[in-house]
Order: sequence, then structure tokens, then C-alpha cells
Amino acid sequence: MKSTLKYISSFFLLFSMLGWSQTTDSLPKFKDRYGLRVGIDLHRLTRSLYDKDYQGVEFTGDFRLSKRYFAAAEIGTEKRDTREPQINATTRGQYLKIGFDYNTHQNWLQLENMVNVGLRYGFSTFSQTLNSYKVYNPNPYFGNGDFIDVNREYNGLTAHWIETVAGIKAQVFTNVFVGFSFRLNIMIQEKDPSGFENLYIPGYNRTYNDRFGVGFNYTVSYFLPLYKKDKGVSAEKKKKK
Amino acid sequence: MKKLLLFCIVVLSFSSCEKDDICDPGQSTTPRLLIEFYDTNNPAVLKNLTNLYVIGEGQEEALVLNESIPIDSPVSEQRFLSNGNRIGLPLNTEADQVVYNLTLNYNSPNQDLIFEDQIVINYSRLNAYVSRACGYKTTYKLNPPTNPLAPITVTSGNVWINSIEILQSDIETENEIHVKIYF
Repeated sequence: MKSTLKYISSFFLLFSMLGWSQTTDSLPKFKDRYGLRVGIDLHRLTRSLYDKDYQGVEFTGDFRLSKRYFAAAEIGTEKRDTREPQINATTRGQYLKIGFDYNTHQNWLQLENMVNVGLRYGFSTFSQTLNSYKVYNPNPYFGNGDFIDVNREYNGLTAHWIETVAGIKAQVFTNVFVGFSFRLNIMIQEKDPSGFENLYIPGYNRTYNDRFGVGFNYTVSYFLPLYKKDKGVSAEKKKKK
Repeated sequence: MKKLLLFCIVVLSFSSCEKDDICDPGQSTTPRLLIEFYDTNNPAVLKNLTNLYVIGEGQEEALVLNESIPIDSPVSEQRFLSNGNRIGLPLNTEADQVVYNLTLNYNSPNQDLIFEDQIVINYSRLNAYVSRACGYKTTYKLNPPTNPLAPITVTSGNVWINSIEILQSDIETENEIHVKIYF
């Protein structure tokens, strides 16, 4: 509940930034800037500080391809303890997501804010350690057993999935962007440990009984301008010819 | 509009995905040993017990055999008595042997009609993963005939149980009867 509130308040903060940033710069010639934007996920970074069951970091990057399309990628590493009433496991691994973002936002003049939707292909390699478990016994006449320590590591696990992305990015200072995105993950294929299952997948997050998962990130990123092009509208028109 | 829709999907998936956090009672987990009672004189016919009372060796409370009677009922002691032809005995998830005392006509005023037999059940155990919410379950395998510790034997009393027949030595679900007892 606390974290939900955090999300909501940061949501409002971002929108206020979006409004504020629209008054910052004004150049006489209107050319779109193209370049590489690199960032870090603050959500994963801060969670590593307050959640003793989580450690993770994610770097993001996107490269502007055309007026509205951006090639986008995330790379990260995570360690997550899953503590359930009957089970205790630790997942460790890395992930890579590649895809694109489409900016649906019509910017004023020189502004470069984004309200984007996008797609990613996600891939993760990881291991899962079964730390301990309890036997579920609906008829515990001889007593309910305690947690049984196992400490068995299952290596070489993999998962592939698709993410649909919805998010915003706002330029808060020159070349500095703050943004967040929500993700709905659709599992394509995962390799489960034999006699066990993936409880958490780095990048994909917690697994459910069905093929869907959810994700979130909150990024601060820096834009490295590389070159400029005429406003995409005219550029697009030229292409059509 | 498209974004709003996607946002709704995300929110919905957050709220609806918590359903697998509680172990579903319909899920097949640790099974009991299911026993059906048959008539010695007519081995194909089920025979109803009369006030069977079952207590595990070393246990302070008897096994609840009739859960239809509420615990606060004036006749709550009836919970421990079976008059049907089928019972389920929990095995011990942490030991390879259980000992049960089975008493027929338990609450009879006539001492001569109270019959008490003790049975010993020997088995091996295996723990298997069920789900995130349920954790693991224990399944059992009754000892094979080659094992010096017989799977099920009447060790004392021997006053009412005539014979025991094992139908299924793999105790993995409660979907089938594992043992027949003739009396």
C-alpha cells in the first residue's frame, strides 16, 4: 500500500514536471535532435536500499530512429528472495530487453517529452535456490512439520517474454529526463527447474499461474545529442516521395 | 485512449493476480491412507462400522472421523466415532511409521463388546513440489513385502480385524482406496 502511494505521488510529480519543462527553452530554428539517451532505474536502486529481500539495478538506453520511433533497451541484474508461508527461495540472474518505443505525444516546438507505448523482447538467464520449504498437510494429526532446510540451487534457467510498455519521459533540465513506465509481460517460454517452478524471473518479476506478469520502472536518464534533423513532419513527407 | 486501456489492463492484472497466494483446498496435497471396511463372511460387500474410535499411539486426542458434527455440539464426542465404512488415516510426514489403536463399539456400556486392535503401518516418504501457495506435499509408499517391516500388521488385540488387503501401496492421492480391512 505504501509503495502504491509512492507511485501515485511520483506520478503527480512527473506531470507537474511535464508542464514546467514546457516553458524552459526556445530556439528560433526548429530542428529535432537525435541521439542516445542512457539512464538508470531509480525504483530498483532505491528498493535495493529499503527491501532486504531485493537487490537489483537496471540501466536503460534508447536511440531515436525517426520522429516518433525510438529503439529501446534495458539491461539489468537482480537478486530476489521469495518468502511465502510454505516456501523460501532466492532467484539470481541477469536480463536484457530490446524493442522500441513510439512517442504518441505532440510536442510544442523544441520540446522533447514523451508519452510512449512500446514493445520489448525480454530474455533472462538465472538460477533459483530452494532455501527451505514446508509440507502442506491438511490433516496434521501428528503435528505440522517445520520448515525443512534444503539449500539446493537450480542453475541454467532461462525465460523469454514479450513486454508491452506504457510510460512517460519529461525533460527536467537540459538533456536530463525523468520518467516511468508500466509493463505487462507475456511469457513465451520458460525453463523451469525439474520438480520445482520459477517463482521469480529477473526482469519479468513475480510469476503467476497464467502467462502474464507486470513490471515498473522509474528512470532518470541523460540525452547525448548526436545530430539534428528537420522536423520529422517534413522528413516523413520526403520519404513518402 | 489506447494508453488508458493499457493502464487499466496493468491495474487489473495487479489486482487479479493475488489469487494463487492461498493454498486451494481442492488442490491435491498430502494424502491420508484411505481404508474401506468389508464383511469377512461376504468379502464383496462393504460393512458399516459401529462406533469405531481411532487414536494414534502416544497422541492425546483421538482422530476426528465425523467432521459433520460441529465442535461445540452437545454430542461433540461423536466427532471421534465412525459408523460408516470408510476412514482416512493421516500418516506422519516426519516419520516412517505410525501406530493406531482402533476400537470398535467404543462407547458401549458392555465391556465385553469393546474390541481394541492395534495396527502398525510402515512406509517410505517422498516430498514433492505442489505450488507457490501450498509448498510441498508428502506422498507415501507402503513397505514392499520384501521389507522385514511389513506394510500393515495387527500387532496387539487382534480381536476384531480379520484380514488386511493392500489395493494400492503408493499413497499419492485421496482419489482411490488404498487398503481394505475385513472384519
